[in-house]
Amino acid sequence: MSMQFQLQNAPVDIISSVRFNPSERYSSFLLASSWDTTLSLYDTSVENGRLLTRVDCVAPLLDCCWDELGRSAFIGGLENRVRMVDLESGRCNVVGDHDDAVKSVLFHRQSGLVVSGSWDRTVQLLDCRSSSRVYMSRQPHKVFSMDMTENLLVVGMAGRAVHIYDIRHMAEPFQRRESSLKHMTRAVRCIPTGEGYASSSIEGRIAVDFFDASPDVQAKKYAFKCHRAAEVDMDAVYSVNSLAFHPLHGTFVSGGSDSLVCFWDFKARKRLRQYPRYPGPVQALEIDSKGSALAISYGGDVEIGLEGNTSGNNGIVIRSLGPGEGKSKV
Amino acid sequence: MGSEIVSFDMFEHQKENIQPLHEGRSAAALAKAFSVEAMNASRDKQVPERDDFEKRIEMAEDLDDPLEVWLEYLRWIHETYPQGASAESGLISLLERCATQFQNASHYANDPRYLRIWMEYIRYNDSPSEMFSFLMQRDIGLRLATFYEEYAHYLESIGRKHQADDVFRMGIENEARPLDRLRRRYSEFLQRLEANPPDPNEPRSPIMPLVRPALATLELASVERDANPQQQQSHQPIQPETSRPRAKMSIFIDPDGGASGPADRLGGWESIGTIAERRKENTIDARPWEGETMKMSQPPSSATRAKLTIFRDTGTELPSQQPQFKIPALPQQPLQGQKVKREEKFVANMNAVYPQGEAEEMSFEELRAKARGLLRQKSANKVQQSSASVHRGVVSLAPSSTPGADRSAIVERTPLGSSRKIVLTSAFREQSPLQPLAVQTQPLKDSPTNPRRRPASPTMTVHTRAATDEIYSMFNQPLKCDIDEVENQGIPDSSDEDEEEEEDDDDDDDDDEEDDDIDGDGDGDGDNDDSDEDEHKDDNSDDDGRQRSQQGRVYEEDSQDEHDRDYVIEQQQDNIANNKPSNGVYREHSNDMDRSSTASQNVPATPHQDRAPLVSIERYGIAMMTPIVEATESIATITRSTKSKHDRLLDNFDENVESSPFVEHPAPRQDDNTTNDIKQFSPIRNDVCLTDRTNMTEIWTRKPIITDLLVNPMDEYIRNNILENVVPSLQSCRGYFHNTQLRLGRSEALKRNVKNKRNNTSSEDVDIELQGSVYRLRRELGEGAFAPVYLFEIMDSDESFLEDGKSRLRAIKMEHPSSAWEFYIMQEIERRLSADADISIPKDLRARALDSVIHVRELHMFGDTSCLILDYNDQGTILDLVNLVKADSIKSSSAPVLGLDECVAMFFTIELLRTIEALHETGILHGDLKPDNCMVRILAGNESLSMTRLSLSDSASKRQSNRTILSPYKASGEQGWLTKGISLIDFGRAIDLTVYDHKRDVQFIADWNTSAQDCAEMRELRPWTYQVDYHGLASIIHMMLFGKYIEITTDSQPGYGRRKHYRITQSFKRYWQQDIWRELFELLLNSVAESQAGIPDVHVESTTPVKTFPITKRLRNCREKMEEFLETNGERSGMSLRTSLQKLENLVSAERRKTGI
Repeated sequence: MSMQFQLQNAPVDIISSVRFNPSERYSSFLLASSWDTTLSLYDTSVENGRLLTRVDCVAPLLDCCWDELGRSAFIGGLENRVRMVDLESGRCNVVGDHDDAVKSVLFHRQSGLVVSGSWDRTVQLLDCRSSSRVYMSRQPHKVFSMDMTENLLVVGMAGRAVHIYDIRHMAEPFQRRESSLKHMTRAVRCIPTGEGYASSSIEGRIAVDFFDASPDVQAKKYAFKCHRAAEVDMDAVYSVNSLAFHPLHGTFVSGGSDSLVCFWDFKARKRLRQYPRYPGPVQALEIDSKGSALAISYGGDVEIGLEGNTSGNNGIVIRSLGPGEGKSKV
Repeated sequence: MGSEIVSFDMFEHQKENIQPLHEGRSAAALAKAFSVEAMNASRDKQVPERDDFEKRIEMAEDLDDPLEVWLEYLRWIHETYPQGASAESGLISLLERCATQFQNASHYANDPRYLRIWMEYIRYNDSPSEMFSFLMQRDIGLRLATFYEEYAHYLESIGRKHQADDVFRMGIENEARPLDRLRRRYSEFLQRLEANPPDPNEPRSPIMPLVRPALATLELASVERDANPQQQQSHQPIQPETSRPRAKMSIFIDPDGGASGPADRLGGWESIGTIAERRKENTIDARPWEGETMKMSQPPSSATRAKLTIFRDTGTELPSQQPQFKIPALPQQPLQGQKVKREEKFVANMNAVYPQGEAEEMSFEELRAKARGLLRQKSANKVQQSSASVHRGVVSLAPSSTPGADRSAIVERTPLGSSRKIVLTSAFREQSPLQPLAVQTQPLKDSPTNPRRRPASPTMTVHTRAATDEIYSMFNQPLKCDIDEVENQGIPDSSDEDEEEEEDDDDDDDDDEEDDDIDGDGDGDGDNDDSDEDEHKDDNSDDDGRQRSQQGRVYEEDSQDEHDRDYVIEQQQDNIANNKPSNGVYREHSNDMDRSSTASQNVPATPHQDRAPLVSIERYGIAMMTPIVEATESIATITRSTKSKHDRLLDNFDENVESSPFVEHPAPRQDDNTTNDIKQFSPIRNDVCLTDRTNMTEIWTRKPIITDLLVNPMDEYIRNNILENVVPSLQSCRGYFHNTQLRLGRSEALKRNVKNKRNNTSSEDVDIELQGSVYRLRRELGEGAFAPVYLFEIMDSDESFLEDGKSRLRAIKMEHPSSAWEFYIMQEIERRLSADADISIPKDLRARALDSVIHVRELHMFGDTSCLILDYNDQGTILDLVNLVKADSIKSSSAPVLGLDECVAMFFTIELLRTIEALHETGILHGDLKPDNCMVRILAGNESLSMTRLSLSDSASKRQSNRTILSPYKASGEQGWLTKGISLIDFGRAIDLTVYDHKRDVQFIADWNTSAQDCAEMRELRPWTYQVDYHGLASIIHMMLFGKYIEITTDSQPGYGRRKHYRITQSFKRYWQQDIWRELFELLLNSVAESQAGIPDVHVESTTPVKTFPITKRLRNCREKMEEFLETNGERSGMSLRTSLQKLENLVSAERRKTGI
């Protein structure tokens, strides 16, 4: 198997999210939600991938996630709803309802709840079995990105706000923070060990923050520049669209609008690798649960200018990771 | 050793190498040292001896006289190394060690042996004065005469005799032993001093206090001094008188008692350090590397930066007194800051991300959604949004399971892919949440054109195959015209004049080839109409400036396709001149069109994405969903004018936005709305509106106001409709005054006054006041039942009305019932011909055409009458001119001369043709051309014409500089020829073609009683368009040539299937340019037939002029022939244009004098 390959039958529009199946057996199954309104399921274990199923939804999708068993998926998008898609039967139920597009959906393994964040400034906890809302938490801003560790939910919002919730006590944020970055938050992802989270912004920076509020731990937090191209007298600053942690090594990858993907060791504060340029801006990233494959979706508008409609050249690249790849070298 | 006598020879060869010693050297020792064995093997022997001495020195601490050991060691070194100090001997280091060893031992302080060691050491030292000072400070040898002698000797040797003197005195004072010797030395010194008196400039500073210990801090001394002001005081008076012995060493003898400890007294002289130390004061002690940090050498770039930052005025500049070594340190700060803040350029569109006036930023996804029209627009769009969730082309699991009330979109797709289209009317959201969605378990064949792939659009139309087909069928009708013709043109050149001949040829070719598609028209038309109309409504409302103009072009082309080919060609050429790309698109499409007409059901598969192909979308309906949706949406941006009224209009348009053009026809409704709106919202404006409309440039791109195909252009309803809907509105025109609630009511008075004047009965002057200006009636210019024209004089002295200098005269047309039509037309003419109008006529031509139309100034609308204020031209009409010539000839000779000279007639004909050409190109038909509606302007100096109303810079200046004709005829208007010409009046019957649906050929019918002056079509009750002007031209030219009204006859009897052929009854004079005139009349009278010449006559009496109509271009050819003729033959062979014109000028001015004003 080659180092990397393009998935065949990729969605034809921008791929907003790629997610590997959490179960061990099907860890090579990849979900991809796209602006072309489809949710696609691929088997990436075969060369060039195989499209297993494709669910056509009603509106562009902004995010998708798996349930704990990896049998069904949850999707959210411009339809303003959260749907549960049974990938075997193709059934597609509405489990949640927002007043605006659903930007982020997560599945909380411990409780079996779906967490959805929306531009309507709410985060909802949804019970997918009863299709009922368990809790709705109002946020000060539009939700742009969310991620979760054990019980901590990190909500990255507009206005550079970051709220950290204990998902068991959603009434009040566990912590209210301001982003360590100067500009709009693009992605937040939690460190697998649960010690903190990384966030990226549109101005080519990534910040690493820690949950522990004690001063000496907080002193460790930092931000660094990345995804920049040096030009004559200035840096072209690209948006860092996506982050994904390596489940085993604890390092993470970042993908930017400069079409590059970099591996970072946040503890040693070093860049481990940079992969060759991809054909388009990197939109979403994911590393499978075994740490053996990296899915990269690219394409779409270069930094979404005015021509937001150019949606050619989208694709998903599966890059197999060697056992030591992405491992901290310290 | 004593007995043996050492021969000097033994060491004579080394005598230069023997360092002299104060006490002398032992010859035996020298001999030994320089013996051959010693020289060879000394190293080995000496090392153990040296070690032996070292050991003894270590042990010496315990001895009574430890110095003795040192002295022995020294002595040994002296003997062993007669050369003196060297690295090998280690003499200096030994002296050093010895000196420092005992410097604190008080019992040795005045030991002459110890002092001798010091003195030897000082000899090897490079700063003896400091050493002496040190010894002095440390009380070493101060009781020994040797010290003073040595010190004084040293000072004397460096030329400081005063100080040496001081030292001697100090020694004597201190009673240094042996005092006698010291005294003796001092007296010797004084003798030397007398013999060799000291340099008066030599330094006289006191010996002690000013000799600062090396590396001792100044501060310490000054602090001490401050703390001890007494000392300071004691110092200061002493300093000037250095030659005298001072009170001895105030430093040593503390008058306050021994309060200050020895450390204080020592004052930094604790240690003098070694020679090595002193020599290497800038080197770093060798230390173990462990734990040391290596200093990195500064990168060179930073050095240069540091320089740069000095030049950069950072505002924190150092005071100049600052020690210099600090300078490099400071600029470091900004330097580093800079490095951190390297300029950053955001690739992301930050303006979009952080929109102004928005509290929150927009994420890329939101922007993307917005760009696709999917972003919610607050609450109102929720319905729309959810309706966007129409599912397209997906197998529905249970299409019928939803209750009837649930009209959400479920599209059933059969395997064949045909489906029906469902229009959503209810909000998707209201239905039950469990809406099953379809799943396809097969990989889809994605094609980029698959419409399903497009994100849901906000329209409620379901796009299905069936719908697609339907739409395609609309658009894929065989096209009406054969664009091949255009292709055959080759690449037309941008400059029309140059290509004249070629184009002529082309025309002929065209005539032969163009027939192919004519037959196909019929069927297509019917189906086309609706869709066309819709489309055009939509297209028209699209209001991006560029797009507009481009579309406009297409539009033009489209309409012209059906009308006439000549026009197309012209337009196209102009397009090339102005806009090459658009032309290219056009050509491509011509190709496409051919193809599509042969295979009409084929759907062109190429998606068009950029701007230019929009054209094709319009034409063919390719991917029509998107463009049409866009167009409907963009109705919102229709605003063309600056009027707020349109904002209100917009609101109404917006309501239509949601509806799909396929479901219903919003277009007619829009029309209604527009009308209503204007009626409803436009307040009657009594005040002057100074909005200038000249920047509104589109002409052909407007939405048709009148969509009828057969129109009576004089119909009041039609005209009102046009006037109400015209954009920009008439009321926004400069010079329009709306007072319809008032009545002028002066017509009777005017008439009476005129009558009185005619009868020479004196009466009171009749004044009318319009908008603050008083006009006084002079006389009647033109009679008419409904629209008499009076000559008025402006009575008020407001200079602004006299901007063009002379003329205070105005012609005022009093029309009743009031009508704004003529004003509108004339405004439009001025606007369209103005310099910045976007029209494909050369500026120069425009300017001249504009000069050839009477200038309208104001319109005052009253309830009963409308007063159209025009410039007054006092030179008469063509008719007047002909009559003048006739009368003049009768006067002078017997035979009346009918008509004007041929060359003059030709000159005016040229002017007429040029003017009409421009008018037609801008879409205006005069409608009432006749000899009495065409005024002449031949008199020099009458500048009441367009001088002021045009800013057509170059020609204006030309015009102004040359008012008299200087040369033979110039077609270009140079040399004053611009000032001669015509001036069209009376646009009461004019027609604005642009308000009609120019996609299709509107035709007109006349409801008035026709006369011989009217064109053949009118008389034969056939519809007409441009023919009316062609006929009018013919009548004017006829009048000029023959001095008679035109009479037209037809050829005897047209055969079956033959068009009537019209000709004038008069025959041309033999010496005239018969070819030219005949061709011209042929064209003008048989314009339709001429335009279709060469076409097999299928529809004989077809009233539909096709493609080559109007014949503007052929008329232009004609005109250019005439111009050429006049330029070459104007002053030749028995005729002179200038002379003839001069004759006419005289006649006219004579006539003018006669009339009195």
